[in-house]
Amino acid sequence: MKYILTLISGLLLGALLGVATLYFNPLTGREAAGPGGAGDWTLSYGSPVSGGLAFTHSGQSRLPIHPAGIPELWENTINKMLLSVFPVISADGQRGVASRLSVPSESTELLRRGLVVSDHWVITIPGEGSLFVDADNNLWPFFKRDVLPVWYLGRAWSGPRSYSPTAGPGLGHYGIAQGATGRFAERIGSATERYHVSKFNTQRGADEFEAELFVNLPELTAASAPDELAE
Amino acid sequence: MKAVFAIGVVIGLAGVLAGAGLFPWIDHPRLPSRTQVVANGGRAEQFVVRLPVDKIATIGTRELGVRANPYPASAVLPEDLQAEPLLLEHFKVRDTEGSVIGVAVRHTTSPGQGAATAWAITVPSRGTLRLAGTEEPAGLDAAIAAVGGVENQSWAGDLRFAMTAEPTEEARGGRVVGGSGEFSGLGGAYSETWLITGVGEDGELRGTIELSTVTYQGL
Repeated sequence: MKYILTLISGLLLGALLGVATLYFNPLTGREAAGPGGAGDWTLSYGSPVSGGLAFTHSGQSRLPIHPAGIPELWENTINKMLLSVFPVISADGQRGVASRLSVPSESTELLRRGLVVSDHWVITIPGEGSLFVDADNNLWPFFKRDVLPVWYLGRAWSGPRSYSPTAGPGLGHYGIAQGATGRFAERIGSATERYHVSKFNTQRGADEFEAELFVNLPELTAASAPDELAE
Repeated sequence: MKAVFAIGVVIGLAGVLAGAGLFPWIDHPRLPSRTQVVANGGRAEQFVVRLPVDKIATIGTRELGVRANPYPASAVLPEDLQAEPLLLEHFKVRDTEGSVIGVAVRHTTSPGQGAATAWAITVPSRGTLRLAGTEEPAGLDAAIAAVGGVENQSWAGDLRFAMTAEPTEEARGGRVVGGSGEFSGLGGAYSETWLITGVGEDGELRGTIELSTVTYQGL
């Protein structure tokens, strides 16, 4: 009996050490290097929850959906998705719109990659054309520092904070940008994102934030076909 | 006794770390893919949208016709985005058996002559398929009018309208431009057909959108 209790105590201590290791794990806490360079095309946007054109999900999240009457994504094959539609503005003042579908990635694991969410974007500049962006974002640092303490432990928020969450699927932990129509057609490149959360609350999450999507979209060349950009 | 305690610590630590790395934290439900192999080695798959039940959000400018009626009614495009033709459509997407399998985003604008369309069809368990095509702005309105439809009046009938045709030597048409996940590296062609059975007084369309794709690996 004494041996069994000793073994159980050891198991509990080992499990606690394991949880602490995961919480402070530098592999899942690392962030992207940031924007690629001076050639980036920068698109800025705000919170789709408080200021976007449309936002919906399964109805199970505490984040409010809008506009009134928008359907929920309740079917079991799509009920982990988030749809956000919001205006974007480039550094030189061009205005456009982005639709972003966010899906938790099946590549999520808490030992090396973190909490991975795949964002699938369609961005359109009216009268000029559209482009696609695919980006895998590691939201574990955001979850650990903001969501867990405020939403689940009831603590006061200790921000503001900035994040560079992009973790793939392209080479060098960049996302993949691909032109679709108009002046963007036949072009392929990379993308990365940066968030600055300036207000986080228990009702609306990251209620106020400024975000930037950095897109590098040179002319399509044979050496940069989509397969070769993917890791 | 110390050895038993140490073994317990090691097993507990290893168990948590192994679980964190190996447990399938995210596992999207997957329905069978309704695909067919075509003669020259490609893969054919059709995606279906039922109107109006599969509409999620539609926001657009009036130049793009009846499809640009806002949905929900309170959806508004900011004034500074209304100078050029723009239509943003979002739908739930079904397979040919009628099961919802994903969500599609469809953006249309006019970067020159005609209108250009970008589709992103995201199926959580499979990835995103990306399409780019051309269409006639407000072409559906003209087709409905040609079979007796009148603006601001309800209409019922059967209309088959080819919104985007497959590419030909003369026309650019609809192209598959790749994707992510299991759609990564795919090329090919698509056609988009709107089967309209009615229009409500408020301009609400009833019918089906059929997106027929033929994809090839490595294009």
